[in-house]
Amino acid sequence: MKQMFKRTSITACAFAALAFAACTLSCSKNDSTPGASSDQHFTIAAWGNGDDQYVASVPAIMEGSLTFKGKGIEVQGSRYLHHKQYVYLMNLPEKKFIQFEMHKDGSIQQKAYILTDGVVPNYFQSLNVVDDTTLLVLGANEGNNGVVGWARISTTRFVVKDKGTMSVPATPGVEYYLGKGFVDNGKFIIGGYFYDNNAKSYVADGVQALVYDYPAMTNMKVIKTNVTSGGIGYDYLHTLDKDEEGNHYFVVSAGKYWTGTGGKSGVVRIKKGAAEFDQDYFFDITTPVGKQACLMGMNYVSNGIAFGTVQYEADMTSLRDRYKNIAQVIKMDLRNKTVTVMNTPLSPVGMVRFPLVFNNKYYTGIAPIDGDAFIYEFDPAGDANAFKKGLALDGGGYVQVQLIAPHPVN
Amino acid sequence: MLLRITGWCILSFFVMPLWAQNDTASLPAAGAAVVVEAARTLERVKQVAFPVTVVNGKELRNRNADVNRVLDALPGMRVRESGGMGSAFEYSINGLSGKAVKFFIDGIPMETMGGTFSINNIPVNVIDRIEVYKGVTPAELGGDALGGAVHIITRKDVYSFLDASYSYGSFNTHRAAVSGKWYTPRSGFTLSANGWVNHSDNNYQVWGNTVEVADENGRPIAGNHKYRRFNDDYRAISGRVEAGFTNTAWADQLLLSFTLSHQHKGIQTGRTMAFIYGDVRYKEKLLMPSIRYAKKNWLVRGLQVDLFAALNRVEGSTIDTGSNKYNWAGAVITSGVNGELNGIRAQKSLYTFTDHTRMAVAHLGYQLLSGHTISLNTNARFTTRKGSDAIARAEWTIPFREPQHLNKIISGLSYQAQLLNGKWTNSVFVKSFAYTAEANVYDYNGGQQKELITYRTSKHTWGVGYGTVIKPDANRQIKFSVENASRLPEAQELLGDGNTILNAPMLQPERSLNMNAAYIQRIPLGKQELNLEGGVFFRNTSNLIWLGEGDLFGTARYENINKLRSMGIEASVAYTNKKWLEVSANATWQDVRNRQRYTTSGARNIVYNDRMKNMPAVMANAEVRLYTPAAAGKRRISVYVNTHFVQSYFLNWPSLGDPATKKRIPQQWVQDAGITYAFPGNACSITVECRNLLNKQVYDNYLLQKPGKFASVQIRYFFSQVKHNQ
Repeated sequence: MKQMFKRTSITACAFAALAFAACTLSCSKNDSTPGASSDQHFTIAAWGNGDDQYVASVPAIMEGSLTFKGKGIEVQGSRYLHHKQYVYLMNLPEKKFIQFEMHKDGSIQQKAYILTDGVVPNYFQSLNVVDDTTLLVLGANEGNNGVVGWARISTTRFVVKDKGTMSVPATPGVEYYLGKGFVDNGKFIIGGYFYDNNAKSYVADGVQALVYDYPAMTNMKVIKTNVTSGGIGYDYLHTLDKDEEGNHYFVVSAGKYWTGTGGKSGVVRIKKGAAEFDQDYFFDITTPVGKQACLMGMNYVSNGIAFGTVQYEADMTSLRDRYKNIAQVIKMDLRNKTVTVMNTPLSPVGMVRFPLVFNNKYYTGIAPIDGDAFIYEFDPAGDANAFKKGLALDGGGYVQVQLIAPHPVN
Repeated sequence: MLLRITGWCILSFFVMPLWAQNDTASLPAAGAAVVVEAARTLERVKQVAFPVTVVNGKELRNRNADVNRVLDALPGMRVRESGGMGSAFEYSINGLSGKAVKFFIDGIPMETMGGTFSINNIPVNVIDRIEVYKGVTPAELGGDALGGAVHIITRKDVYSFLDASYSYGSFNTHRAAVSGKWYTPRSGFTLSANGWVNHSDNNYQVWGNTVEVADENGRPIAGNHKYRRFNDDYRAISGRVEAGFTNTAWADQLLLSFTLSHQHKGIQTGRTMAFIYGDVRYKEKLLMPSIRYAKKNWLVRGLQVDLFAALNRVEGSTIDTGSNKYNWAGAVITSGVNGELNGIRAQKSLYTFTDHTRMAVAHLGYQLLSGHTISLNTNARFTTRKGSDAIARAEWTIPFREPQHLNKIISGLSYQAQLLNGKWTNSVFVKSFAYTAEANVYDYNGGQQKELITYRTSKHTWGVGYGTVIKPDANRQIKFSVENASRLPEAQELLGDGNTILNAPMLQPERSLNMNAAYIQRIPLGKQELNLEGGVFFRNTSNLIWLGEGDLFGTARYENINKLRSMGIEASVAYTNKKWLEVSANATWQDVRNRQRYTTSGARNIVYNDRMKNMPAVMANAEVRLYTPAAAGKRRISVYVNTHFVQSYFLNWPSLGDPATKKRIPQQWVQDAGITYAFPGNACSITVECRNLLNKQVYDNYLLQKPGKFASVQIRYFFSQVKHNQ
């Protein structure tokens, strides 16, 4: 009996160890409560390794640090948009278009979502704010044969108000891909690019945009300028903005790895109220910056100054290199057509989808893949060194910022 | 390296081997002896120097259970299914999973046999026993199993018999299986055949996140609506005929066999239930002729040889020509789409792949002295995949249309010594792993656009291992084993599956240091018996081959996770009152962590030391089985109830993000019950079972719901020439 007791006690110990282990399983600390002392909170969306993505708020953007350890809403986004107190995210794996609301106290939470299947073909690829309470989203199947879908979404009720289809150019073998667009003077004007599915290459015949009657979304007209050749208004980067006068500026990406054929990238303009390109306006970025710089995105700040990003195609061997240290921030004087390359480190900054302009400053995340990562603040009044490192991002190059958005304040 | 490989091959092929027929060589003449021999075989396997759990096939034959369900209840085992009958599944043993766990049938690797002939389709009444090796696997199995191995040994009854069963269950599920054998003792002529048909509509209800239908405003219709799966039907038919001679003076076995199988199924979802496919179909055919020769005391006394050779052809077709997009109500919500697979890049496709595999397995064993055995085995497989797509528009099919190759040669040399009158058994082995692969990918290659790139890989590595078992007395065993070994990428991992799994030509072989220790105690208490077993395990793994999470296109591909460390404890207890009661329970705790300090780009890895994502830490099972009191040695009614528990776990790295918002695979705690009535004479039995009694929502994978309550009834008929307790 004693022997049996000894033998079974070994097993009992094993069970006890098992029970102890089960009771002490790790639980991450929930640290999503924002700091109460700050007046101005910001939300930052970032990609981690692989498909891990997180959205978290911080009490300050120019100090402190952000870690996603135990913090942040886990998401899967492929398209980001910030408008007013909302952040929108197209979640492709779950096929949802999600509205998050940012609060004054620094909290952020999912408010509602729309099931995207059946609203427009494929998914919400192009997200556009067309007025204070309306988003116009567009989607297209691969091989769209000249028809894409659109839907208007009320941001207040977060419902699809109406939807339909519209014509886009259809040339045999050459497909039009949706870009970003805007509404002005009863017209909807949208960018995009063309791709030859047979030759597997971009097609760039000048710079083209499509114009529709709004809100009917009919009567398509192609407008064109030959100042350069490339796609404009790439759909998931910040490639369209307007100045104080209401003039709209499209990013033209002419890189051979990015919607063009290796020509000059830059900025084109459509003046307020017009439904044609300003044929006299082209701001060449590639020539002054060099290294086959391809303009990827831009955010207008004020007084003709915008910040943008370029990726150096001279340092690239393929499209997948865009997530390497091949991009940099530039300052652009849209009026005088001068460009300043900011002395920031090389990084994949060209892939930041929704940088921020706030209080007359430009903010983006710079995360060299093998170095430390920070939110940077850029001053439009300064020179190539007029920037500051702000919020540190735990994980360095592991974390790539996708969106920065300010919370409402009292 | 080529010389080394060739050397191993030549050596192995000239000295060839055997495998599972150890137990057929000393064949008893009739019923009672068969039972005794079967029991001895089970005990012998349990006492090998490696961590092994043995499932007695005889105890399964009256249950309407598939193999996945049986093995999922074992300690340290986790079987993750993506849906109902015919769905994809993955085994995990002590923290290593996927293709690290190998499957063998009668010593032959199953990975080239296609989906129809998968382990889960094999009816339990053709199984003699299932051996589950955890971590360290004996060299005799001849494969590159790194996480463990599941070895199914089919029945080798030495008499003529017929065994047939049919079951019908929920979701219009039918299973029919028949196996039989005709044996003439005088000449040794043997003819055996088995076959099965499985069918299910798999139209079980799903609900919850992503199983939603939109209203006219695009918002999900309020309420917890349940929807039936509508494109998930499955049908598989398989047959195998063997003819030849057994138990003759010149051959223990000389058998020619021919296996044919076919499956046809709908594909309902992509990597999550958000991807709803209404028209995608998949069909597959397997054709495999093979020959086997086995003989003990071949040429000289003490020499065993077992040779196996097969040619197989697997043809799989994915039909994605639909023009509609469906919601979960089965309604068309969009027309004019171009196929359904590959998410936002969908293009219609009619992709067919054909795998041609030449396989040879050879095993040689020689008893040097009493208790001292040396064995050598080689397993060589040469697979060529060709593909075609009649539509040839979908980008994802481009790399699959050109030929791809995967060749593997795995050899092992082992020595086993039984010392101290059999109380101490030691086994040591060395393995050689060699493979060459040629796989395609459609990607950027220094140019402006994507292009077809062919990757050629060639690797050779070594592995060593040692196992020991000490048996102080008849009721106790202490086991320890260690190995440092590799496993090579499988065809599916490297070449993809033609629908939801993309190819990954740059995969590296997985390598792991595995250690296991176990203590086994048997406590006889008259007619009662208590069996206790406790074990610990440790794995240090590099380049873990892991199926990545679903991407934006509803597809996924295998990837390497550089460094992982796993450790854990498992325990089981079984109580038997031989007259009327069996109670068993087991539990496993495992701690699997990322040990990669820096990412491949040099950045600090913020998930260093994090628990492995998408992997549970705690699993447990328990079962109670009651019998009616035996009458004249025959049990006539048995009733069981069991429960199965898996702790909740996160899809992504656990330390990142607010736990309240993280994607998680919910806790699983389900109960099954069943009753079997065996008619007098024990030739016929009826079983009624219900799985997932409480109709709980169950997931093994993120947003891929498994079936709810499943009720079934099975009838089985068994006839044999000899009186035999089945």
